[in-house]
Amino acid sequence: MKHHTTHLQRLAAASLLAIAATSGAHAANVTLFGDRTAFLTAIGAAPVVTQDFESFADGTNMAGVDILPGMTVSTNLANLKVFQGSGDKELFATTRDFPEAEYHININSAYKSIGFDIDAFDPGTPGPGFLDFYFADGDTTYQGIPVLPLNATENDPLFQGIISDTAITKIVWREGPEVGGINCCEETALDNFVAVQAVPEPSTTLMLLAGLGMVGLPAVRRRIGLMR
Amino acid sequence: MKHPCQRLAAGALFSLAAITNAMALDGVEVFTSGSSFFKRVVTNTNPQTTSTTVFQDLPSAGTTIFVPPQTAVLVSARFDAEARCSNTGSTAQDWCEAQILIGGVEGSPQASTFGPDTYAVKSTNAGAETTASWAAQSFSRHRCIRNTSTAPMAVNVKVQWKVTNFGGATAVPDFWIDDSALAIDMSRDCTVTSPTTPGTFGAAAAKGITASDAQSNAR
Repeated sequence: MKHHTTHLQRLAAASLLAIAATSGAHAANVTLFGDRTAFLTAIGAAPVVTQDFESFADGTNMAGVDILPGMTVSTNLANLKVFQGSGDKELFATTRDFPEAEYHININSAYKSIGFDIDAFDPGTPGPGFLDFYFADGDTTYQGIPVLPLNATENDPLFQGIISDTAITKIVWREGPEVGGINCCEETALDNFVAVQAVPEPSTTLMLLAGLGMVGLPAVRRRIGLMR
Repeated sequence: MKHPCQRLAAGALFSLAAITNAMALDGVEVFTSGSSFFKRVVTNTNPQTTSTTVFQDLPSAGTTIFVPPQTAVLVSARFDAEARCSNTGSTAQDWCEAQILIGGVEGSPQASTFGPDTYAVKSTNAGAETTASWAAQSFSRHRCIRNTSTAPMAVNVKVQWKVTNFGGATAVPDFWIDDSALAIDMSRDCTVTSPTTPGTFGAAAAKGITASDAQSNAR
């Protein structure tokens, strides 16, 4: 009987751990924003972290540098640096010598709400750029989102925001095709990141602790039994 | 010797068809847009069958696309596949249907929404079609979607399928689909108009100018 109870406990513990591990395995519930004011209103008073690149020196190599805690940016182009534009500083990938130019925002913390500007989207670009959002639950719905050039400039950027109930693991910005050729001029930069501070989900943490506790329970009981 | 119910149903269908024919122009829509900026294709090589008599989602023939902020886009969806529709157990005029929903609404022509002339992908040919009657089939549906918001708008595009057991026989049609492709295209600045006068060549014909005359005048 004792053995049977222990087996059940282990089964329950394993189930809890499995649930904790896969609690994000549902389709992400997502709201997209194209307006910074609307995004900030939606996140309300939640504590945020921001990055406008003004504290970096012009030309700083940003490869592998955390732009926010647990968040880096990479590119398929040769360089990723802070660039002093005609206005403020921004994150800029150069030089465009591939048919596709991409920014990969790699996220290693549990951010669920992120916003940023796409600067200087060449209004002469014939096609759209694309945004891809990746989630901890593997949902692929929010990929291939076309972003049309709307005469955005450095001083009149295109804001992109997302609020999700599932952690965002990566955002990819793919620039649109070039005018008159594929290996031409740089077009876009990223700036003014804002994200709600990453906090582990309480329910996930509680389930994980409960599962670990139940795994350890038989050992504790055995020790108590030995002490008697 | 036809069953009275069949005659009644046939009579009702003819009546509805006559009414529909009189209002045919109401069903004419002309979609116009600028250049294409987006394409997505969902393909599937797994054969699937159904005998459901109510529309259900065809697995692996759907996706979500995003209409950019403050734009009106023409969403065009084309579906093609190998298909067969058989019911060797009945000589009734059964058929197999499909529709494409764009943002929860059947794309035009809305054959399944405004019946009774539903859209048959294939018929059972009154029982003559067999399980070896494969053939390639294709159809397209279209809809203007306007996104007035400042954020990208999610639009689900999916194929649904069903069979119509017109004869009411115990044996229902078997709808089989294989090697399918759902191709979706978005293009900018969509407008849709409903002509009030019939014309073979649209506006040019309505003004008494043939299409070739219009081209001559333009030279």
